[in-house]
Amino acid sequence: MAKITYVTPAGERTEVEVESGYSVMEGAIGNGIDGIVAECGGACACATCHSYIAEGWLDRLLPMDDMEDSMLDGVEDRKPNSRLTCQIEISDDVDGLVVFVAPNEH
Amino acid sequence: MEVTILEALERVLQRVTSEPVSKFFTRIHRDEGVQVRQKVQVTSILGDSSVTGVQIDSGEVIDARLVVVGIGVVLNTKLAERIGLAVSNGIEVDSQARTSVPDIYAAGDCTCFVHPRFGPTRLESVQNANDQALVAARSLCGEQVEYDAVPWFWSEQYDVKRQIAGLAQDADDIVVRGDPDSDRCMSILYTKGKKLLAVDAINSPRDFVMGKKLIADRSPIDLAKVIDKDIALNKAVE
Repeated sequence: MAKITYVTPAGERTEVEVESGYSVMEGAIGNGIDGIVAECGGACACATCHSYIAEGWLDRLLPMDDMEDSMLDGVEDRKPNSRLTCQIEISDDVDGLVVFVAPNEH
Repeated sequence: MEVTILEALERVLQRVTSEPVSKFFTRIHRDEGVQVRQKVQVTSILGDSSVTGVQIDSGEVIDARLVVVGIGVVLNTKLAERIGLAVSNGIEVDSQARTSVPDIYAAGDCTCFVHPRFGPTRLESVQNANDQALVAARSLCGEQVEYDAVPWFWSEQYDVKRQIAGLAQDADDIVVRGDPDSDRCMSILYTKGKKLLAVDAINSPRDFVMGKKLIADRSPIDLAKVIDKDIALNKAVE
């Protein structure tokens, strides 16, 4: 279980508890967070769950693999703290994580 | 588990993709021990209380305890027709998801529309259901919108992720980046003149994301460069 804070591009903050084993993306979908679309359902195939990780958190997450890195090459506004939230698994280790949802590309 | 694929057409995925991609997927399934039999018609599924086998047109029976049937869909447009909507290959909508009847909108698999890049189109996909629904919602709220999203699709089989962007039906040429007979990653580009219409990326996410952009931007591509797998797609623009 971890407390995750989502901040939408409009600046709206939502703090929710997400059970371990789910992804940060699934935590957003389950709580109706605007801007995380997750078109591919978590297959790392679409990049519509792109978010920015709050300062201090990036190094505490498991590093991204080549597939995620490649998909992020295709998004607008990639930054050094960009991640696809479908690839970040919830565990006690990410309790307190803050993610900023990237502007939607639709 | 022993698996047999019975394909009615001459090659697997014939309806939705090119010959090199069919060849690739036939090979990887055979490598995994799957029997792939093409150009066979199923005549009956045998068994009383549970399935025991599948009979094909030659009379041969293939033992089976589980049958997965993939036969596509036929649209049910009865309701749409009853309320007087124009229906052809689906419910006809314009680029703002409006049907032929005022105040009635439609979105998703059931609709056909004229895509500004690909012409008359009906899509069965998650992307279309999401993006066209968004267009319908914005249109309902009085916004001026045009549905022009580049269609995309994906599939995962074993360790192979296939991502497709665009629609290839109007292509006059195919460029294969990689070898369908031996590679585990490759991509196929569908072009018309110097325009990229679609990309079929197999374990090649960079070709997918870059190809999708080139399709959206209508960038003219350098055909001599795109054939070289080692040149990034965004570097193969004229």
